Order: sequence, then structure tokens, then C-alpha cells
Amino acid sequence: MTLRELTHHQTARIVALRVDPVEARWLRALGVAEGVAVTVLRAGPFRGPLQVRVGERTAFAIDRALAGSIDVDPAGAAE
Amino acid sequence: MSHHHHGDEHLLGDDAPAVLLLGRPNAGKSSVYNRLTGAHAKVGNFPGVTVDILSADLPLPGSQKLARVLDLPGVYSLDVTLDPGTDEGVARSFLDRVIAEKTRAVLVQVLDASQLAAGLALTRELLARPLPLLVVLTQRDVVLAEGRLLSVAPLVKALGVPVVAINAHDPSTRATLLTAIAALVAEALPGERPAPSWSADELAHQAITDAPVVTEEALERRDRTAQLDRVLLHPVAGPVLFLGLMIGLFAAVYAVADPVSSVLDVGVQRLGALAERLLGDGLLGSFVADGLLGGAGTVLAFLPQIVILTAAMELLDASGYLARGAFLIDGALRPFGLGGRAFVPMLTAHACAVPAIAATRIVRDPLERLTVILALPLLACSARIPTYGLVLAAFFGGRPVLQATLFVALYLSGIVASVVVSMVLRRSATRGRRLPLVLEMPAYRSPDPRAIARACWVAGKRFVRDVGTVILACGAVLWVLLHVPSPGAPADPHPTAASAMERSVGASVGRALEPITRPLGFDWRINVGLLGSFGARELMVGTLGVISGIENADEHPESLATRLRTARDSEGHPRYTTRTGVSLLVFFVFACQCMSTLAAIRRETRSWRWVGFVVVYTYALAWVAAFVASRVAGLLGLG
Repeated sequence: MTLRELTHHQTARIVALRVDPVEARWLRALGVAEGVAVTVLRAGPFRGPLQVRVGERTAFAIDRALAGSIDVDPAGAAE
Repeated sequence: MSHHHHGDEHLLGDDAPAVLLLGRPNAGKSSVYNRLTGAHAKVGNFPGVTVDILSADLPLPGSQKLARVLDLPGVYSLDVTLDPGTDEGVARSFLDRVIAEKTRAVLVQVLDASQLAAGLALTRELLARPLPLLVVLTQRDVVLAEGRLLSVAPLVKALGVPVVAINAHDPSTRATLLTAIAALVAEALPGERPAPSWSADELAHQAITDAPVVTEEALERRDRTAQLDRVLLHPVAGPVLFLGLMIGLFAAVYAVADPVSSVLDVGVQRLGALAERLLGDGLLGSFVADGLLGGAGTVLAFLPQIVILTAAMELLDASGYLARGAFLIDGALRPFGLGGRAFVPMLTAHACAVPAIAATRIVRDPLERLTVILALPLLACSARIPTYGLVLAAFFGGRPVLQATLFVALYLSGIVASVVVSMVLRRSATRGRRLPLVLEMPAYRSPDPRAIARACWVAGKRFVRDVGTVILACGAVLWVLLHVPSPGAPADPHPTAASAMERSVGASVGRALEPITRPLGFDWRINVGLLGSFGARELMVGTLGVISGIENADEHPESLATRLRTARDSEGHPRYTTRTGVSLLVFFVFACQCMSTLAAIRRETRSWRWVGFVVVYTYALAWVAAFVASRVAGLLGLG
């Protein structure tokens, strides 16, 4: 499933970034990388971006299109 | 926006070793810079950068030499950049240049200790650069207040570079930093460092540990940003609060700036009167009074707005709220090809395009920022109002309902036009990759007042230097156009202000333009008014007044309105009709009749090409729209 489909307040682990390689490297530099735990906190109004906690201490607004290209695994979060 | 970065040569290039401050956005870099440099700062000219590159020369303890501290834009990564025009791209090319030219330089990474793991990813990249590195941990007080302990020893051991932890509020911070930097400057260049064997997460867990006793208060502190977000990002309360805040900001720019501008205006008029008394009321006196002092007054009148808006932007940004505002409004603006950060400049442009263009610096995506800059001049700024009022009174007098309806329609057309133009530009002139929105929503912080004061000072200085000079030059040229007689004009037996203007170079230009403007119903007099209002839209009323032989038309617009309505041509037909009024209004909606806006566009895009682009597209749009409006008005039976 993708980050976009994740239920709010449910934690999952990023398994793949399905974007072009430069964009993927840039996301990893920001901390949005494979293996990192993510939680969708809320969605912005008017089909706006998602507020996502990435790792333990950082939060990002991520637009829905991009969130739809980030594969996550809710089962992996427990590890 | 150009992607060629010609850095100001003063930033680098002589003996002083360069101290480059680097760090993620929101890491506290500008606070560290302020602590270090106090009041000194030079602003570097970098095209397209949304953050000024500041520099200051500092004496280092135990050394005769000065070091040059440079505050580079915040970056998440130096190895990967999505676009060379972003702040990240600029910081990277700057660093690459320093390394390629073998400039004596040291790196200082400012790292938010409360986000240690994230910041260490950048440290890893910096360690791969062949320059001495110092890591400065900020927000130590926040870490402690949240019931955690910070120890630098594991970091020093793993990174192999000096690490200091500071409190921005501690007065000894400056000495600590200077000592550490002096030691760094004295260091030999590092050879190739071994590949890092640490993981950012593990290292962060070693450096930051829970305090033996974690108080209730500390636990509450940890949760504070989430608590505030629950209110400020609430699906209903969030947008309401955001809109309220934005309306307040708009009102401040609109209302506070206006009286200040009036006071400045009176001062400039007094000086003008004094100049005319000293220099006589001939051409020289008039040039100094109207041409030069008038232009200087225009520049000064913008300053309060620039300062208010800069302070507000800095406050919003430094507190962490700006990212929340963008989050709330982003969805509504996406369909128009704009992101959440474009909202603030677009709103401010309803007061004045000049501060709004400066405020586009909060839009980080270079192509989106350019789009906003190019579309902003279409929004109905406050200077259009006297002109709208005059034209409405002149051509629609006695029909208050129609006047009010038209007034609202004029406002809305500005909004619709700017949105449509943005969408068209995004598919044509500013087409290109749109950066994906990944916007950090930092923890809420109390802003550093000194950093805000510094930003206001820098913005004001930059405006006077870069925009002010262009406004002054344009004002002088306009004065010459409207006051100097056209070569070959016959001698004037009874010179008056009106006859002087009729014989001016500007009148010749106005007559030469008649073939183009006749389909819109504009004669040379209106053309001269349009020319005069290029200095500032509100001058339209005064210029039309002078040419119609009415003194002080600004204060008594009704007499000018009557004069316009009753003017007859040589055959006794009315010179202007309701249709003239309609097309003039529509023309004013679209035409970028404002040299100050153009000067601001030149400043922010660093290019005359985009200035030319705005002139051409807004005037072409104005002509076509005015022509169509005039035809439609004819079809509707308006005389």
C-alpha cells in the first residue's frame, strides 16, 4: 500500500520510493528513506497535502501525488 | 530567473579566510550568525536566491587576521539538488566554487540538537568535503527542557571533528563560537577522511539520552508542537485562524503603511516647495521638486510596507507557523499551478505589488516564484483605487449601483486575470518541473527578535539600493517627458501648466500613440495621463487634471470628472463617452502602469528580460481587453 492510503495515526515503514532516481536521492537526504517509520497525522483541507511524521522527531507536509508514490508496510512498523 | 550565479566578488576573493555557515533550514543558522557578527552585515547579490547571503568580517581571538563569515542558504543536502535555481543549488555551487578555487575556508555546520539524526545526514556529506569542519549544536536548552541530556563526547569520537553545544540565549555563546572557529581556521586542511562507520540514528541515541528524572513539565514540553498543531491545524479552526491572521497582516500593510506614507508625502512636498523657492519655479526648480524629490518620496513611501511585511514573514517563518499556513492553503491553490506559499504575496499585492514581489522570496520553487512575480501586477492594488474612482465618477456619475458593481467587478477581474495568467504561464513561459511538495513542519519556536530586526534592516536597505535607484531614474525621465518642450514646438504666448504640457515631449508621444489607442477611444490627452501615471497610478488623476486645466484635481476630482464628461471636440461631439470610461477602466486592470513594480521585478528576477515580458504581456492584454470591453459596451447600447 502507499503512504497516501495509510490510515491516519497508523505507523508504517517505508519500503520503496517509486519516483525518479534524483528525486528519490533528494527524499532520502531529507530523511524520507526506505526503512524509516512514518505516521500520517492529518490531511490539509481542499484535498491538500498530508502531514507526515517521519522518523522520531521530524514532520513534513507531503503532497498527495508524491504520497501515492511512496510504498509503505504497516506490518513492518512493529519491528 | 537566471541560473548563472555571479556571486558578488566581495564575498570571496581576498586574504580573509572564509567561514561558511551551513545547515538545514530552521536549524538556527541566522541566530548563530547574529550572535557571531552583531551589527555587521553585507548583503551579497545572488540572483534568484530567496535568502540573502550575508557576510561580515570578524577579528578572531589570538589572530591578527580577520575572518569572513558567510551565511549560506539552508540546505537539506549538498549532494542532491533538484534544481540549480533553488537555495540548495546556490549553496552547493558556492561551496563547489570555494573548493575548486582552493579558497581558504572552513565549514561550520549549524545543527538543531532536537533533530540530531536528521542533521547528521548533512554532516556525513560535509565530512566528504576537503575542508575543516566544526559542528555547532543549537537548541541545547530545548533538549534539556524536554527532559533529555545532550553529550557531545560520542559525537566528537565518531565524527572526528570538533563539536560545541550552545544556547542561543547564553551571553557566553559568542566567545565559545569564536574560540572554536579560531582553532578551526588554524587547522591544516584535512586529508581524505575515512568513510563514516556510524549510523545517524544510533549516534543520535548515544548523544541524546533521557534524563534520570523526567519531570511532568518536560513530558508536556515534548508534546507541545503536537498540541499546538491540534488547534492550529484543526480542520475548521485552522483555516479560520489562518485567514484571520492573513487579513490582519493585509490590514497592517494597508492601514499602517498609509498614514506613514502620507506623513512622508507632506515632508516631500514641503521640501519641494523649499526647492522651488530656492531654485525658482523654472524648469530646474520643477525638476528638483517634482522629478527628484517626488521620486524619492515614492521610494520612501514604500519603505514602511516593506519593513512591516518583512517582519511579518520572518515572524511567521521563524515561529514555524508559515509552513502550517502553506499546509492549510496548498490544496486550494494547487488547481491553479500554485503552492501554499504563494498565498501571502498574492494577498499582499492587493495593497501594493512592490512589497508583494519582495515577499515572493518565501516561495522556494524557482519557477513557481517566477510565475507569481509575473502574475502579481494584475491584482488590484490600492493605487488603482483613485483612478477607478475618478473614471467611475466621470463616466458613470449619478448611477451609484452601477458604480459599485463595476468597482467590485474590477477587483474580481484582477484576481481572475492573475489566476488565469498563472495557469497559462505554467504551461508556457515558466513551464518546467514542479518541485514535489515536501515541506518541513518544524517544531514551534519563539523567534529571535534580533534576527527579525536584522532581516528588516537588510530588506529596507536592499529596497532603497536596488529598487529606489530605478524609481528615481524613471521619475526623472518622466519629468523630462512631461515638462520639457518638444523640439520644434512653437513659442507659447501665454504659458500655463496646461499649455506647457500640451507642448511637451510627452504630448508628442501621446499624439504619436493615438493611432494605437484610438480603437479604445483614448485621445492624446488620456495617453499623456497614462504616461504620467506610469510613475505611479495615482498620478493619473493629477496629470489629467493639469492637461484639462484644473489645478489640484487630486483634491477635487468632481470638477475634473465634470470637465471630462462635458469636453467637446472641434465638431461639438463629446470627446469622451461612457465607452471610453469602460475601456479606460479595463485598461487599468491589466496594464502594469507602475515603474516601481517593474523596478521590483527587476530586483527579484535580476533580469530586464522579465521586466520587458511583463510590460509586453500586460499592455497587450490591456489593449485587447479594453478593445473587447469597448465593443461589448457599444453592443449593450452604452453611448
